[in-house]
Amino acid sequence: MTNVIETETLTKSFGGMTAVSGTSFSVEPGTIVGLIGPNGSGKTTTLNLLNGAIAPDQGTIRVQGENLAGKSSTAFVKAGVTRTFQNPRVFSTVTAMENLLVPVLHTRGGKAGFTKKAEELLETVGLLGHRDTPASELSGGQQKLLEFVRALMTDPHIVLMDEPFAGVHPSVKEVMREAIVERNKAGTAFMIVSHEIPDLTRLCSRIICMSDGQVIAEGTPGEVTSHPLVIEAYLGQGPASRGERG
Amino acid sequence: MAETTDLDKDAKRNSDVALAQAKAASAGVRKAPWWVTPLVAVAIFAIIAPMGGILGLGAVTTLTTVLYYTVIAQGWNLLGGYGGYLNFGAAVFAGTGAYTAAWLNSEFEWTLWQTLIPAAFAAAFVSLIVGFATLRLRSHYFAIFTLVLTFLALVVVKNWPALGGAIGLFTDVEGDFSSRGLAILFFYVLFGLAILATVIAYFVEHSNFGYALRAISEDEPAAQVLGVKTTSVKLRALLIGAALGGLAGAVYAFFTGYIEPAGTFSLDLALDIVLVCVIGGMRSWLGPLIGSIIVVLLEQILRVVVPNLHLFGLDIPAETNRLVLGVLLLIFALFIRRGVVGLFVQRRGRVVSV
Repeated sequence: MTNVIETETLTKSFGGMTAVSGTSFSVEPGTIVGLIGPNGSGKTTTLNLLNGAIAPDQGTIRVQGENLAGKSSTAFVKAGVTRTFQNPRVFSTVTAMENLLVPVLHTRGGKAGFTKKAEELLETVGLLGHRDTPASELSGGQQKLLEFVRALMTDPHIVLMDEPFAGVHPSVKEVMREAIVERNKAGTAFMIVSHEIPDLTRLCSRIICMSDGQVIAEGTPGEVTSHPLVIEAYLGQGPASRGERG
Repeated sequence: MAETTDLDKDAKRNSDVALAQAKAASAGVRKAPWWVTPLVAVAIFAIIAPMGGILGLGAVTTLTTVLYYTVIAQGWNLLGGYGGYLNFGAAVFAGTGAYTAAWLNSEFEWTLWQTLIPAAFAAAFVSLIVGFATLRLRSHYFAIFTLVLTFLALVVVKNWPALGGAIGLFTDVEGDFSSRGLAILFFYVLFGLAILATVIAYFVEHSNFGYALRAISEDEPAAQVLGVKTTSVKLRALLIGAALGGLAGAVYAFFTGYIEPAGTFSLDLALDIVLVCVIGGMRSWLGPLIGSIIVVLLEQILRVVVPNLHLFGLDIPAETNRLVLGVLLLIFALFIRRGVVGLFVQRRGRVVSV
């Protein structure tokens, strides 16, 4: 079965700093993969590359078998890749419902159908009561949930999530976790960047650890968290302890 | 396993509490009923409708200008208001429509009705060229470019012999009309176009296209990442707006009977349209309608009042009305940032940054 995402020798530099250096990994359909690593290890840059927000200097990004490296975000969304951000980027002056209707602008279908789908998605995270509330009036945690279901509107094959559990109330975290599990049962793959290792070990079947822009370990949560290179990256002489690259 | 179940139960309870709290908090949010703004618009048009036949010539002409501004401002507001791409290009598109109509009329004797569609197409065509060239620019650069474009259009038309050069073009309405009959004709043509433009703005505001425009205005990179073809969306907004401007311009060319480059590609008009939307309320389909009424009436009042003022024995120059409007723009930009409509419909207004 074709991998949802497969990268080969993915490289991205900003000026003199190489953020992602020859990274290769893959995400199988319907899996939840965690992406961990110390601050500045290249996780967010990897997410930005995987959805076309930035173009790689070299390497390939195959989505469902098709190389989309250098293509626009629109091409990635069309191929089934969506994402959320570390700080939720909801559109604050439009309502929760209207936020969900933005991604389907170029998708064929009537507004009534999309509205029904959006209502169902809002229901899954308990936001249906806020369907007509401007996003600016939602709490930070609710904005994260809204951003999550907005990413599901285009029926993605994979959702890239940047720190979905950071700085949110435990109850919201639980709603998010349940929603991810439910969606995953329906076949959607996830790649989750997080510093909350216990949350990831509960959710993920596989974890990838990056350090200095490279994959240093990959495997089951147990394998990765006990990997000597991972321990060194987090506790030893890795970039985190040297205080490099925020 | 039992531990996980307890954890899950706790989490469920917590999430229920959080959702209940959120619902309670949102219960107090003020929200105007949906029918308020349509009702206001219908009332405004219903009040204006009989005016063409009732009022004197001067008042009808003033109201015709209100309607002319409404059409152009509704068009401008699509990209400038909803899309957040403040620009000074309104006169270019209205001017293109005006010159297309005047040229077709003077050269081929096309009637007002025959020139409307070609004028809209010509303005839309110009907007396509402008849009392709510039809509990848972020808002401030786009604003500066449109400012330059207005001067560029002025120079080009001034030096284009077929368009009458600096002298301009005359237009002639077919048929025998008294001056009052003509005034009524233009009033109702622009009345119809103002309704059309307002209905278009209403549907844009309540469509996925409109939500995407507002998303672009707020966070264009995030909209792109969600798969919105932002350049295409902006281009479509510019194109629809330009076509409306072109239609209004065509009527204007016949309304004045004569057009020349400096008056047509005028920065005054471009600035007035921005003022109309800022005062009325950007991102609201009602804003340009209300803004047009306020700005045009205020301009007329100032035009009459200012020359008669003799402060400290000094004559006040007639141009002072621009100063008053400039101060008004600052007041709205600083303190009434959602425009007049925003004062009544809090949740929909857009925060203006000028």
